[in-house]
Amino acid sequence: MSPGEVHYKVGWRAAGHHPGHHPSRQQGGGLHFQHHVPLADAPDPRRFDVRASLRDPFERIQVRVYRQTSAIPVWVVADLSASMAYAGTCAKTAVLADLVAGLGYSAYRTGDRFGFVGCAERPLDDWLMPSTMNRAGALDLAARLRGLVPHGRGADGLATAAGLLGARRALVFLVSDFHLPLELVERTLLGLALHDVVPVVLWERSEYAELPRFGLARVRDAESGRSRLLFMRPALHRRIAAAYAARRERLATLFARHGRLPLYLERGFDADEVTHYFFG
Amino acid sequence: MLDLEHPAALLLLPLALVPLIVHGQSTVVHAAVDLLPEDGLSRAIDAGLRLLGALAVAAMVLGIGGLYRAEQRVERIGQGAQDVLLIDSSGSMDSLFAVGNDQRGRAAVWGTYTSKGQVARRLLAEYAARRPQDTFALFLFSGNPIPVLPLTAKQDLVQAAIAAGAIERGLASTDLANGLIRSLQFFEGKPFTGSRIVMLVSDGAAHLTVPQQDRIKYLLEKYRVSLYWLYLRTQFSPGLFADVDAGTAEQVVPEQAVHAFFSGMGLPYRAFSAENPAALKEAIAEVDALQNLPMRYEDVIPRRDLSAWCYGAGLALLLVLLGARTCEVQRW
Repeated sequence: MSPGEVHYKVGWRAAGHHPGHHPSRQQGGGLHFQHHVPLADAPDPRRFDVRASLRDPFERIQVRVYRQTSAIPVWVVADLSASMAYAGTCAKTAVLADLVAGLGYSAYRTGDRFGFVGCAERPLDDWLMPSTMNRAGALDLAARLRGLVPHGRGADGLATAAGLLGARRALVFLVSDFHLPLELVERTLLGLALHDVVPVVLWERSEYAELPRFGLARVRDAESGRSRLLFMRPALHRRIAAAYAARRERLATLFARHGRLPLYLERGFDADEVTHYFFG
Repeated sequence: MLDLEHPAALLLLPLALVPLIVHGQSTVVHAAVDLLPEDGLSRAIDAGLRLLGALAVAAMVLGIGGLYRAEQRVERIGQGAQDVLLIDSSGSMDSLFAVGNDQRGRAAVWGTYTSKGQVARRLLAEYAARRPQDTFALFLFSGNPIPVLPLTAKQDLVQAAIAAGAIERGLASTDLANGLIRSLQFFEGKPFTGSRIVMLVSDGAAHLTVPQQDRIKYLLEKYRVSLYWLYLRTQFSPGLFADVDAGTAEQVVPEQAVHAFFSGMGLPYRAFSAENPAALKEAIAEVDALQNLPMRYEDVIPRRDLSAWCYGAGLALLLVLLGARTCEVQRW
């Protein structure tokens, strides 16, 4: 079964020379007309433009110059802290694995390079995949992710992950459950300011909507290990849903300030859903 | 005055802290506990369950330690007469009572008839029950007087003491004088706080010698005691009040001589015949008419074992915790 293919586009011009599918600043053999230059500056007589040459007051021979389309780096920066171990209907690491497989495959199909950085308290060496054109890299990584039981006690590494992504503007999928301090999210986004960041929020409906109906639940935090007793009842259900709605609101405000709205994956990875995020 | 049988068990008491530290519940993992709202009710339930756990452990430890309330002596104030019940438990009391044994022979089989002793106890029990404000002491006598119960106002104790004597047949001899003297000496050194009554329950089949008569009279006078005789007539006996000449009386109804002596003392004395259904009422009315002062006496509240209560409390608390356990959410 091939992983779902995602189509994505970016609203900026890539700087790389490597040909690809995205608008670029590079002149080259594309279809996007840029401007005219004298033949001496661009010695390609195939691009000779009769009307532009006749219109030129200095009677120089004008040729058309085009922009090529370039490849961009695609990165997944993932939160691998213990909270990602939460498994409702499907484990968040499994959703992440599906997403990585899908994006890696799509990047390969689009001709883009794909890389992965996994972070807990700091970026994890074991979970770093440098930007590569190799299709198998992402699939291999996805297979490893499926078997991962995250133990990280935090996701502070996200803030320093930017240093691993290189200096060229990239499309970065920032994947987390975003059960992080907003201050850390803000720092992460500032660190990634160079890049085009798509926040992917992995939430489960069972976290806040499909709750145990009634009873005593001692909930244990996956990261801190602290536990609290909750007496589940309809009134508390409403308050939990409200707390999540407020959180969603705050995250949306924060992400919007840094350029993009978040993409919520609440029913597992669905390639069409991700495509819809870019083209919908 | 709580105390422990085995104080060493208190070494286990720190275990009561365990529920306060360890919750012991099955947990469900949640990705963002901090995002879940604070809930006062949940916190109160949490604290409550921990407290119940601690109390359950403490209760069980106290149960293991054998908690008891020590014996206590309290001073009580009573209002009423001081009754000494003097019951004849001699063999003659086992013979047939004058009433209700019409179809029986002279030597009926024990247990198939109403004996005088049984009647005596029934009447006394009724008498004691009708005078709850009085304090009662109980003596048995046959050959030797046996003190059974010191002065007490506890009805159930009195009733139990009266009933306790009615198990089997009495002893051989009857020493009325000795029993009476001994029961009168019971008042020695006691403050006079209410009317003193000796309720003699006997068929009176005894002889009193002259020295004994003097002694009885002296003591009755000294301790200011009223003597009441609840007389039980044997079947076919002429009884106290029949007109019989002295010679015959000595042979057939020696109690007439005793009655004559008591009547002739010039001291408060009444004889009631138990056959008369009104006799008991009369006796009670008579005692009612006597003057009563408030009396102080020391009462003993016996030691009481509370460990069963401790275990019970522990069990009840554990049942509550068990209920909470069944309410636990196993899957989020």
